[in-house]
Amino acid sequence: MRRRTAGPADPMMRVGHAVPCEARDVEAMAEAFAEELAQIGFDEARVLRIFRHPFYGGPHLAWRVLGEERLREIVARAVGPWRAMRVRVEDQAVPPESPRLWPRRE
Amino acid sequence: MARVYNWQLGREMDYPFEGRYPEWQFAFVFNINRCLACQTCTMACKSTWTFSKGQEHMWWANVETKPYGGYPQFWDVKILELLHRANPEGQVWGSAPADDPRAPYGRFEGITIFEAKTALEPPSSRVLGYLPTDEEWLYPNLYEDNPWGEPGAPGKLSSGAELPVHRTWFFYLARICNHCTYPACLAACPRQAIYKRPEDGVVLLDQKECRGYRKCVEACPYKKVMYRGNTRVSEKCIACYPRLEGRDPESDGQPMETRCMAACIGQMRLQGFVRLNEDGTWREDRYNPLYYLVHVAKVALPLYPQFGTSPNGFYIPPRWVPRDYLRQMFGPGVDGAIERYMHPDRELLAVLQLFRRSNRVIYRYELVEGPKVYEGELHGQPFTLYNDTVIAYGRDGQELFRTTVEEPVVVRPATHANSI
Repeated sequence: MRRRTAGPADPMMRVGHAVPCEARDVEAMAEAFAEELAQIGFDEARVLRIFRHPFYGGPHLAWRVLGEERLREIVARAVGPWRAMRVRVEDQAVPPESPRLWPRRE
Repeated sequence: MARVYNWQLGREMDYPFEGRYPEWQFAFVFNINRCLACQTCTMACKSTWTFSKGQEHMWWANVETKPYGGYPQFWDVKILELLHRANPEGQVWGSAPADDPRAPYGRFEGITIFEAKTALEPPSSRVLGYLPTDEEWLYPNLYEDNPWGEPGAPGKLSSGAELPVHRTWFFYLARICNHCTYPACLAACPRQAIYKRPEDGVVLLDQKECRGYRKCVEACPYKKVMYRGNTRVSEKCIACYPRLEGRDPESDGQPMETRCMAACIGQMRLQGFVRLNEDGTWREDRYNPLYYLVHVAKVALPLYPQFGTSPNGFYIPPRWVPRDYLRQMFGPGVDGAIERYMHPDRELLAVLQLFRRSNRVIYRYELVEGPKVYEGELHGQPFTLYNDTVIAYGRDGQELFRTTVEEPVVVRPATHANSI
């Protein structure tokens, strides 16, 4: 298949085109990630480990852009209110007479 | 053209068929703030439904990195461009969001894909759309985490050793078929091979009737109908309907969430059913979690409501993304949604705990209030956290699970019981 060539003037090919962005956008993104992780029970150290790990593209971007020190401040602020929270989930017990087709019990 | 009421636009609109509404409507809420783009949903769907020869390019469920990514490439830019050309400068919302459940986002003054009559090509078409090229279908995950590249050479970087840092905002948009209330695929099919199920509103494509004209592929603004070359018919997401019907052996006859929902490890998905009124608006069902998120808390918004299909997929918008972009994508309800999401009340916090706790479909929830465990500030406003319990119930009214937010308790392992 012939590969379509595109230049920067092609409105449909946005590769490398700039989008409006300010430093606070990355800070806001980092704060949102930290808060979401805190809400599912992550503590500060665990949240920071996610940011440091290159596997997690979004958080790691913030870590590289903002630096460890700034990120520590953001994470501490974001996690703060959620430190008091722990979530316990209780499933409804399955009645013993409940039919079970799969996986089969031997 | 018939006239139907579209509550997401706050007005009546043209549609090729009279409005017919199911007893229950399949619907879902995705919390974009929590999506990691792990693609577990994508693979759960792929390994269940689209793993066969001829389906290589098909991803009924996908996660794309916005603003650069898209599957097929540029799907939303292209349809927005077509609408803009059909109605230059006219694609605007006329009034502010209000409390009216018949027009929660105000009134859309522009035209939908069913109303762009002068722009239809050929003029006999029923819906404004376009057919993506083969190439556009080929890169479902292009630019994930990595929007930078050299102009004209996507994916090629001058440094082969290290990926560049992209100093910009981005977010992950998880998508499946929206099982729209006014499906464009259904409207466009000359064979009437596409239909909406009366029991749950799932949009299905009858492959025996399909002749592969691809009018549905052209018409769906979300590009969630795909053509299969080796069978010469189109295919689309079926909302894992055997699971919805409770026919999965594990479910004991109770409705189960779709594969993509149940597989989500990011806890960002909630799927269920809502009841509809005779005009297609949502019937009040105060303690249905979807009704609460969309119509009470109003934190979940439809994807591109201006297309006019009344999609049944709703998104909690990412709070860090520039608002202009989000308003275009989710409509004028964005500012209020983010404000409420960033300062959640105790009921919203409780309902957010329902996401991905069970693979059973939740029909109703109940909040049992507990004592206060924290008082302080959140984003500059007073914030109180309570030790509340939220209980989820299934279709048969039986409890599915309960989630409690409680104070941290450290349980000392037995091996260190007296180690102080």
